Amino acid sequence: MIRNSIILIFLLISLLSSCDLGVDYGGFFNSYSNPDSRFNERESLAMHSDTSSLESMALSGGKLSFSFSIISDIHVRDNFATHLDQFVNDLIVPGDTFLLNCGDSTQSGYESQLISYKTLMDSSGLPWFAALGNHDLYFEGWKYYRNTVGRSVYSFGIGNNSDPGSTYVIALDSANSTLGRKQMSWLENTLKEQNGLWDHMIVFTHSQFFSDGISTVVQFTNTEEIYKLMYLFKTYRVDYVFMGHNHSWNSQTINNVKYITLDPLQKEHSEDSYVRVTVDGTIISHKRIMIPGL
Amino acid sequence: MAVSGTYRYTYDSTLGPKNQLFFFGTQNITENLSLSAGFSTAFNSLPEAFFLNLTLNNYPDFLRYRISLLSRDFPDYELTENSIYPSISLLTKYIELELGMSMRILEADIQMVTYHTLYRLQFNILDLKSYGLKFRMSNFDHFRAGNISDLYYTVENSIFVNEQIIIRVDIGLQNAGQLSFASYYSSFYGQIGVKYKL
Repeated sequence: MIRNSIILIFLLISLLSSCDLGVDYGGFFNSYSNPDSRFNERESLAMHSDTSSLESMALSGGKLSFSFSIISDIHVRDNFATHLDQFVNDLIVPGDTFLLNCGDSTQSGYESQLISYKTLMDSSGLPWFAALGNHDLYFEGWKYYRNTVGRSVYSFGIGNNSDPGSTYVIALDSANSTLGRKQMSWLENTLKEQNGLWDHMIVFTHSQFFSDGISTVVQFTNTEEIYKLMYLFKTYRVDYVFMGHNHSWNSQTINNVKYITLDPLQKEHSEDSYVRVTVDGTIISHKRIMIPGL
Repeated sequence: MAVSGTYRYTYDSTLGPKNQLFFFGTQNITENLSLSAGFSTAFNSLPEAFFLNLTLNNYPDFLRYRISLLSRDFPDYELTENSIYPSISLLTKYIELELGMSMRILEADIQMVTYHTLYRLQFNILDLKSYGLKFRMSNFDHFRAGNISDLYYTVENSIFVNEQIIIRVDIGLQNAGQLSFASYYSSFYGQIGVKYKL
């Protein structure tokens, strides 16, 4: 009986291992890095793109007017096309100023996948900024991400903070489905310091806040942490929180904060989409743009 | 009828330490039907959580049905959460498996309803005359109905002092993100409580 059970477990593991899921089962018990250690490293790591062109953006008609696009969950694999190619080559409008990505840029966190992803993003010719996803951590992925892409927690401004339309962007690291004490403290201080200085505040991260239904198996872990973040975003008047992770579109407005969970940019998904945000002075709006299957 | 009081210390790596007191009572209405109610407080003047649940046993004897109402107030975050969760348990001498669903209603400037899966897997390791040892993995209890990855691993020790008094000492760990395979041990809790059978 015991021997049969061992054989069955061995066969099951072999079967799972042979699947090209690119999933690190060891991460079920522990992952290579944690939010606090990644936060500690942030100052020593590069920004994903130069922000100087955004900080010095010129006014047009006495206000800042610009647009940018947001994508999520690309899951770049070796020898596997995603919608990222199509997005970079065909869908970016000339007026876009920069790109945001809500994480899971790669399927398995391999260095080769990160390089493919970075090469494609660089070929867009636009500054781009990414959030770290749980898949980017697989197989000790942080070792490669930190050197290939850069830091996982950061913020930057667009325009001078006295300009109409000035916008502040915050990237949060929720790859472990929690922020960690240091990042939470940094976020509270950053929101407090920047409060009232900018016309618009945008937060983007990987893990999402809300469940679509009982089949939702990924989310920020601790509900109380979600409630604290919602309170901070309400108090400091954040306009948008963009998230990914769940591969399912969700849009909620709670206490004047828009919470948007994006569709993925994976090839096989039938409802791929991305979001374009338009800032026209003090007015900020978004549009979901569908992408037909490849 | 039985009444219980418990103190719980939680350390969460993101939210920090938390001290809570829990009180609840259970009354058998019939041989198979019981009603429990309780509240908790984090040393504030008002209870922060209430629960009420109705439990039906013995239809058949290895199944248990439960429906719970849970209200949690988060005054610091200006938000109230109300949950209704039915569950069904498979009971054996050594293993208990409970599955349920929660309908969670968030009260902010709007009312938002979300649905979640709840589960509890418990191993009854030791069941002696004066001592019981259990290990469980769950994302809910009377005072909490968490997200699917809000999984706690708990070692539960029961000391049966006499027929009336049971002392409970639990120790638990939580690892965030385990269902997305980027796990991180993010929370610890320990609790001590007394149950008195009237």
